[in-house]
Amino acid sequence: MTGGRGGLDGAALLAHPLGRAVVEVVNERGYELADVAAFLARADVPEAEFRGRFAGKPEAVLAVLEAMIGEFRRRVDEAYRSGGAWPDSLRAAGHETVRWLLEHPGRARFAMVSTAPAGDMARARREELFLWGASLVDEGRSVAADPAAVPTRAGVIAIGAVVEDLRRHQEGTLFGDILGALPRMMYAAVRPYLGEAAARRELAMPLPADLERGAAERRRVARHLF
Amino acid sequence: MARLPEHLKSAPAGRERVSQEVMQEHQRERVVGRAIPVFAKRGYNATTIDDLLAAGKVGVGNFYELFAGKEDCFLVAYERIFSAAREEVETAAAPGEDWAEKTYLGLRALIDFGLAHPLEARLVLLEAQSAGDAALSRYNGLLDEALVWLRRGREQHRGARDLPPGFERASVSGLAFYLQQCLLEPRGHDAEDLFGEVAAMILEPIIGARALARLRDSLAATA
Repeated sequence: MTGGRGGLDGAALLAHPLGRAVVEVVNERGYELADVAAFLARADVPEAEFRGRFAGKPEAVLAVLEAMIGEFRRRVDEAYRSGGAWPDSLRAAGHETVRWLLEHPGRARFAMVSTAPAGDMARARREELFLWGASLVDEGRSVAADPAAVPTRAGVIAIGAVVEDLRRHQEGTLFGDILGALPRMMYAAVRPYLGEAAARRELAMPLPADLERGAAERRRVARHLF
Repeated sequence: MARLPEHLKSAPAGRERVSQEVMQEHQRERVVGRAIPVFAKRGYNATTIDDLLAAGKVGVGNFYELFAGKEDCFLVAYERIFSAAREEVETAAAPGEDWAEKTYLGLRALIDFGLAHPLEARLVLLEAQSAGDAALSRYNGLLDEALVWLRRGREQHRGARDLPPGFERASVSGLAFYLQQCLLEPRGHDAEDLFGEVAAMILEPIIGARALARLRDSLAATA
């Protein structure tokens, strides 16, 4: 048996039939009811191949989750680092998050909802990601007029609003349009650092062209569905 | 004919049945009280029926007389904690106090409750999210209830009417996540610090910084 990601690097695991099968089966059945037999059947690979890569279901699910988080984080970090000064950088990270969600709705559901019962390690990986997101928000402290006046945990509260919203969108218990939610998430993130006026500007910021294309249709579909 | 002493006589049928129900309820409470730390420390999914039997000092047959199963036991525990927290929050402010005072005092009571009962708070805020659909629905309902309460603030405070749509949802979601993070951190937390941050992030945008400072001063003077 090979190490954490079944002998595959993150992108390779996500593209591998086993990686895809883990995501699909866990999303369809839920973590508790998903089993190795279903992974094998969906991936159409022999059991020996699975056993050569993973000790069992928990390890396979965790490896896929880690690969997914790694991929997401690389993309968002790159967008943030090339996004300019804060809060432009944070907005760029937000747009990249939405791109990823729109490209990979199944992965998003797997990471946010389906693996919620998958144990402490999975929870810890998610928490690490969220706290990393909070640290990006908290870089606003460097441009705040009075950094000491910004609540210590402003970044955590702001990222919490995003996380909870996404979770409920994925669960299907909160309906609406994730593109429409982005400006108010930015408002909540910017306000503690730069104040009300700067936060309000976020509400009027246009979407990048690639996200704007088809946005009206996505919003219409979202409204129609929900 | 010799008479039986009073305590050995059988009770009338109705009284006996009530007595059994009371005893069963008492036992249920006892088992739930012992299940809470197990769920909170081991996590809902890792907790087995055997863990609950051992903690509750109850046999398997007896457990299933009291609960439909693990999930039912968890839901009873959730409701028990939720009722206790709600009572703390609702009694924190005197009747007739306005929305801002009630919210200020209620938030403070909520934070105090969470810090005083970290295992209970962990069960409601963290474990409920992975304990099945019914628990998740209760957790989401809790957030929605807080959301409705915050929206009342927007109606009552002129300055809050311009807040963007969704401000309250972001506040409630942020607060829930913030409290979860506090519960996950091993270090101790100071109630005053936590409350100061929560009030600044959630209450201040609605009532304004000056009103929050006045409220803080007046309630401190009263205390």
